[in-house]
Amino acid sequence: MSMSGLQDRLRGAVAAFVDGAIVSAEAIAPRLDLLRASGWADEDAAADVSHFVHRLAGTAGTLGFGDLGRTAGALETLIADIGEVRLAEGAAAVAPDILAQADLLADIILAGLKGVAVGGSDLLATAMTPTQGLAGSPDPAVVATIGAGPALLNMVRATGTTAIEIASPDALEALSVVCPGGVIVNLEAMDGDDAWRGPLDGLRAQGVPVLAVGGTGDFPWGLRACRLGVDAYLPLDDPGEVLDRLARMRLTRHAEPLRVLVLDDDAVLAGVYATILGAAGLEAEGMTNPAQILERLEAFEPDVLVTDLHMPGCSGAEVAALVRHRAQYATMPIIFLSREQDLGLQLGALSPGADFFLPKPVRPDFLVSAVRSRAWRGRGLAEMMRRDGLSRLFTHSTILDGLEREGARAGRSGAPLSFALLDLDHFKAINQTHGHATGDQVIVTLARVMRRALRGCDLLGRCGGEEFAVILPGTPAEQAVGVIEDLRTLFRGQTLQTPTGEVRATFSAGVAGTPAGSPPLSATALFTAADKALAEAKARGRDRVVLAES
Amino acid sequence: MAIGDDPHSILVVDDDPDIRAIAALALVDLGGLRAVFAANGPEARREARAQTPDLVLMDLHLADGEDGRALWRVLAGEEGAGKVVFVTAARGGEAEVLMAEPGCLGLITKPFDPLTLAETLRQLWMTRP
Repeated sequence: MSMSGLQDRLRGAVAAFVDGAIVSAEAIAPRLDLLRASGWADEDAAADVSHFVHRLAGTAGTLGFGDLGRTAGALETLIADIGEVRLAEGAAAVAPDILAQADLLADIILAGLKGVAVGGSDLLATAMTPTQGLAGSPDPAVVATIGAGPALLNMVRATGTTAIEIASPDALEALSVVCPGGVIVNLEAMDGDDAWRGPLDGLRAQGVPVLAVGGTGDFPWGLRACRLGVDAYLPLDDPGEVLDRLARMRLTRHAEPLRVLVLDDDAVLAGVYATILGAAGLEAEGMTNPAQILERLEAFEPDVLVTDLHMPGCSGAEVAALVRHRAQYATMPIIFLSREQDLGLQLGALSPGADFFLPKPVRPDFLVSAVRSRAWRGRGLAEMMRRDGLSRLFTHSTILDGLEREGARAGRSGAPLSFALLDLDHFKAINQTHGHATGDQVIVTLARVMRRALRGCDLLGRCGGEEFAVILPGTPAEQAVGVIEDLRTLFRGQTLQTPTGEVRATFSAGVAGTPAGSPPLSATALFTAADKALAEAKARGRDRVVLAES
Repeated sequence: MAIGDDPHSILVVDDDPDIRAIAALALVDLGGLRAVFAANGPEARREARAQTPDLVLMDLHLADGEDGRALWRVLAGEEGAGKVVFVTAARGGEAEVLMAEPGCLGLITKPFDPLTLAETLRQLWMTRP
């Protein structure tokens, strides 16, 4: 079937839902009015409305009306929970906050049903990109360029990556079939930005990172890059940095889902908020007891904490202050839920580190977008703190933590695990002959080669100075040696152009791991064994990989 | 895509006409699979007898309180249907119980993504013993 034929059929299915939505809004409205008038207590009306929103939650979401579907799902959860509370503790036990939340959700659903339009469906928007869901993830072996100069094109091709120079917006649109690993846009060589915007958005929707280069980096250039909708703007013309940035963006794209911890002393509301966030594709857990906050943070490691401001015994502001006392949570965004009359409390909460306030009752779409945007920023900040400033690899302590964790995991699952320590050969001599700036460049080059050559699940670190580390989960020692050997060959083939001439460098490496079928070594034992093997590689003449004796 | 290993015929049971329409697009037009559709128990039994589907995509909550799980047992027992994938609400907490049903390959939660539904079903189909 042709793409346009499919588009028409999809449009038809969405149109049928939209027509039905208006009719069903009229049909359910009287039952909903009755239910609200009874304080959400009339059982027959509750059953009707519950059935209606249950169905809507599945249908609306599937047809591309995600917000409406999430809101319907949240109301279904709330009606069920209100029913349980009422049965167990009586109608008076249902808190006014909960009834206010239910009223708000009902309002949004009725307004949403009356306002749905075919053009509002995300399904039609994503299906416009023909390969969505059919092509695989972005292919790192191909990069599309727009207006790239010879220096950039040569650099891209020198890494074994295919560079396709794109001449027109139509050509870019056609490229979505290939799904390139990235798009590099040279702002200086591009004109007619508006025509490029659509095809670029289409590729970004497929998870393809788009990077702008060129210009001076001043405000007007930066603004132009923003209006093109690019993911990042690097005015400098270092092609190596550009490619590396694309590789890093691809890694973060395919990261694990965002995690949110929701604290509300009312279990019903905590559950509803967690449901809303879960339906939006986040991993959310609800909790009610502020005293357990530290245990839950440690166990779940959320990207964002959402907490009610007004709780008995302990305010949200106090929870935030307590959490902020722990250094590891210094960058975690905290969002407060509060009623408008809590203005004094809101101001008080600002000082210990509130990042945002959401009014109660909470609109599902506001909650999702507030949490999502802050979670990404928080994760980015946390990543920066865990990484070494020069190489952008993990810091020594992060690698040690990672080795502990992977070691424990391998111990439980019986999966193999390997660890490698790498050390640049004659690094002091490079620094003395060519200067420290060149030494830094060698370190950055090795980091880039590591990122390019190793898998997404491998953990890469710089242990300080000229020493590097790689954790290879699921990899037996013999196989890890092969991986590091390949890395060694790739790295020794790199040539650095410097003012004092060409520089080449090599590294020595020690690898330790669990042979297939053997009991795993502890993290400490792995580290010591790799360190010993590294010393032996150095002693045997450097530029080689040595496997630790088991 | 291992076309040679696709299910011969899929029976989709869902009481919601919007969902049946979008599933038809997703499985037949987009996914290239063969599928027939039913809105309730009697229709499902008729289709199952006529087509002997080797995979059933079964909504858990059908109209008028009809239970998808009970209906699956009937289809499997009396009409010789092969395997089943249940469609549940995100809120449903019955995953373990459903996975223990005879012939159950997995669960799909509503809302599902129509653009990847066929691929998801193919992957579940390949996990069958």
